Amino acid sequence: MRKYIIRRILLFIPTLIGVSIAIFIILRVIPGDIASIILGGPSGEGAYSLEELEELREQLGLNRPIVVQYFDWAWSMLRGDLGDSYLLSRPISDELRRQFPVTLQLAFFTALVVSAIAIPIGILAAIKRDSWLDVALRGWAILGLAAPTFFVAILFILGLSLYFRWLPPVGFVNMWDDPVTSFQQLIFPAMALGFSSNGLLLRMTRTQLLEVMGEDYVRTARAKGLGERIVIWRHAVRNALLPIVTIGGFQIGGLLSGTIVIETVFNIPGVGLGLVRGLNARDMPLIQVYILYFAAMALVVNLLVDLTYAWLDPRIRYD
Amino acid sequence: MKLRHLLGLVLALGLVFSLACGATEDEPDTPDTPDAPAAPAATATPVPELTPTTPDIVIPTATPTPAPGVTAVPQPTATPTPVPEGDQPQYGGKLVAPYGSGAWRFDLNGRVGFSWGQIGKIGNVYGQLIRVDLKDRVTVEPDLAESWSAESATEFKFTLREGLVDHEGNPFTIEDAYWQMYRYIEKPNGLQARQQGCVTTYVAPIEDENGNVVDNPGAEITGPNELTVRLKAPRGAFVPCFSGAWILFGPDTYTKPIDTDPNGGRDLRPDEQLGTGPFMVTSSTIDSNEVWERNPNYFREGLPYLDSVELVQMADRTTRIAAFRAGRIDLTGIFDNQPRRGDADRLIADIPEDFTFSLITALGWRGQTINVTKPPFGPIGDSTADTLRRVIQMGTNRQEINLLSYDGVGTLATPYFFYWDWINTEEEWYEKLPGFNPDPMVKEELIKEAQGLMQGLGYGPDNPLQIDILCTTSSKTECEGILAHYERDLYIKGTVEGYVDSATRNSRRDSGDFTLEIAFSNGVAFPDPDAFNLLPFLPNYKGGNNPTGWDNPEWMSRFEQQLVLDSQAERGPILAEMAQILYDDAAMIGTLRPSLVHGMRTNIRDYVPPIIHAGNYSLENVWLSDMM
Repeated sequence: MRKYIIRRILLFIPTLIGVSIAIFIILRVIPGDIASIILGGPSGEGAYSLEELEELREQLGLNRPIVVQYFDWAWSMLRGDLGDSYLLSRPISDELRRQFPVTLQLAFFTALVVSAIAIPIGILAAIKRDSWLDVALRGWAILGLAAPTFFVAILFILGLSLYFRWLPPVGFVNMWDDPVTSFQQLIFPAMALGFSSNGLLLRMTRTQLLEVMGEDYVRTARAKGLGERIVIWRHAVRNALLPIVTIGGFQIGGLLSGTIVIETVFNIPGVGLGLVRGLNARDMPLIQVYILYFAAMALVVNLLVDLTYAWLDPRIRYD
Repeated sequence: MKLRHLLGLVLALGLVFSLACGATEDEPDTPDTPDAPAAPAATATPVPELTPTTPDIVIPTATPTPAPGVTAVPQPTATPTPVPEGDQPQYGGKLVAPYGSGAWRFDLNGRVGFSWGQIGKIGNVYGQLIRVDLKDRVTVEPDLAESWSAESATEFKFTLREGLVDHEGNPFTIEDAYWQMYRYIEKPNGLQARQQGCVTTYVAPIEDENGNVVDNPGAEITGPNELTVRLKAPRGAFVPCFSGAWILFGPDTYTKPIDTDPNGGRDLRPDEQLGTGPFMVTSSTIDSNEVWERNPNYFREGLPYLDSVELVQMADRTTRIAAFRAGRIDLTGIFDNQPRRGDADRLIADIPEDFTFSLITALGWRGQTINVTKPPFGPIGDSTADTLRRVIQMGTNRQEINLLSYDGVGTLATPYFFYWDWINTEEEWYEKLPGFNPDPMVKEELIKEAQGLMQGLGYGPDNPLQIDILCTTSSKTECEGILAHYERDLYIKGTVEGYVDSATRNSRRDSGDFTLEIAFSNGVAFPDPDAFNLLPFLPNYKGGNNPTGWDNPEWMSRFEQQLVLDSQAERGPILAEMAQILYDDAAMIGTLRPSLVHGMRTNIRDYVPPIIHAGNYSLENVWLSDMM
């Protein structure tokens, strides 16, 4: 097991190098110039001359060959120096330290919402197979899969303000500072973010449970007189959980990237909002680090999913 | 499902929603605070009577008359929020205003360029030596300086008020004021001063290239409380520019150590925003919010009325409107991303008791940038290229764009503000620059003339001129409308390769990789520097705001000529000639800028939005009424 984990962690390295090269090249191929944004402002209203533009480009090192720029940056990263944001003139590590806990809170909330809603409802749909309830829940799941996250988020905002004249309090607070306000601020973004995950997980739960409930050991459990609740929860659900955990794990990876949209719409100052700000400004050092962060998160989540397999099913061995 | 399970589910959901939506609903701010000092009467001005040693300069006010066919062009007059009879100023309360980005990113003249969030600090956190009156929005009045005088055409003396203190309770001295002038002029440690053109361009240097103070330096402490500012040459525009909203002053507590750091400079951190204004920054969270609280030591006795102001980051316009409806914010946008007129009308219809708005003239240049460096629109002097640009200048239907894109409340973006009737009357403007005339009959004739010119060049409805157009995603609607109009009326068929973001737009614009660009806002690229206290930077003659490198020596010589004239009577004709040159060359086709909708709650009193955007946004006179 230990060997497996070490091997997986070592595999992170070439993956991250590949991602870093890809994002480095892509950022330099796409048009857009951080220097003009720093000088002219996001709306382009600021005045500057082409000489000033060139001077700033020189100052930021944008005129150096791309290979030199890459190796400079990579060497800094290896030394643990994430660099400074061009736009903010601040260390990117400070930004990540500030934003990461915010995004984590949102992801945690979303995972809670998804687990609390999708799995029980999926089980319910399986138990009530082909009933009106099952049809309605499946319809809801498909709606979740079809609706883009940003659209759901805007519907939430419009619905809440138009019909209830309510929106979450403004000015983000951390869960540990003010749990109630934090709950108010995060519950709707979490619901919007979890809407599509809900759909997938619900369908997965239903399908898996139906499959397991057709197995011989379930029939045997029923035949020996166990109550339906025990049959479902102790025998069927636990065995159906394995693929659900897999999908759920991947969904957590997706949730972290989904925060990019949700944080922007709900003004949550997390990594996603920071990345959008960086992208709009072509803040290359910041974007590079953030994309690497998302890639690393996906790798870590995948590893954790694999390890959870072994915990759920003791027959699985990785050595 | 059993009934009790269903009931349980409903109850659980109800609990979640009640917790989310109402458990700790903010208590409404109570305008009256028991400990607040007695408020002056509504009619009394809390500002001590100040008499400058020179008469107030009154900048020409505009008195527009609606033109035929113009449905709703905003009036550039200051309109305070109405005060019902019997409503008295009250202390207390908090205003919550949204901003797009960058409220936490600020320096008096930092390395960063322009941020809408920064504009909120003007007059609220920082002060000026002299400023434009917050009520009439035209008269220049003392601010941190208790008086000022023009000793000669090139020398101005400013006498600082006694007893000024900054937000940390330390005295604000003449040395502080001097250091800020030094920063503007000498830009130590890589500082920039991009918004302070009248200081950086007009004021004489302080030091020579070796760092020694020169004779008659641009800024000098000449008395215990006196700062003398010397210009390189007489500049009629100096005082209006110096009272413009970007010429801010703050103590040198944090700036001086940064400016003199041998390891190089940096911008101020959010916790280093130290001023003398009516509000002081008490917390600032990047990407989230910033809170200003009442400055108890503000030198204008009795002000401000509000306890605090909170700026919350909320870039999206739809979210802002939703947040206003939900009572989370009190202004729909004070600096940027204001709602459109249509949104404001809907809010008026839905919540008339709670919402009101003013229209602010967004002065400046906006329209089509034409690349005059290459065919088909360049070079200037080529008869075909000149004709094609003329076709666009005369044929562009500004009023159609106004209705299409700005709900009919756009402001004509001419080389000069159209309603500057001290230069020309409106009729005279339209006669000289007919392309701007919104009269449908006139426009029809002009379009016919433009079609004739196009046919003379071999183009027609079945054989349009094919060009590529540069458009941003945010201007897509406007672009599509103009493209349809050009194809239908001017026989110009534009193709948009892809709607791009502003960073890509800037990049393509700066490298000349475009033929015609639509709806690009070039800021106040060609302002009259002696009027309306605009962003006080000068026309960026060759550079980012003039991407095509348009160059006309005739225009430039007139520009230099008028700068040193004090008399509007003398300057007016020269400015008119400059406008004519710009119009005839047609390198930049002015169309319209959206007027800004300043939406706010109806209990907000005595707020007079600046006549133009980027003015002084001080909220020191604003108070909240309990009468809605």
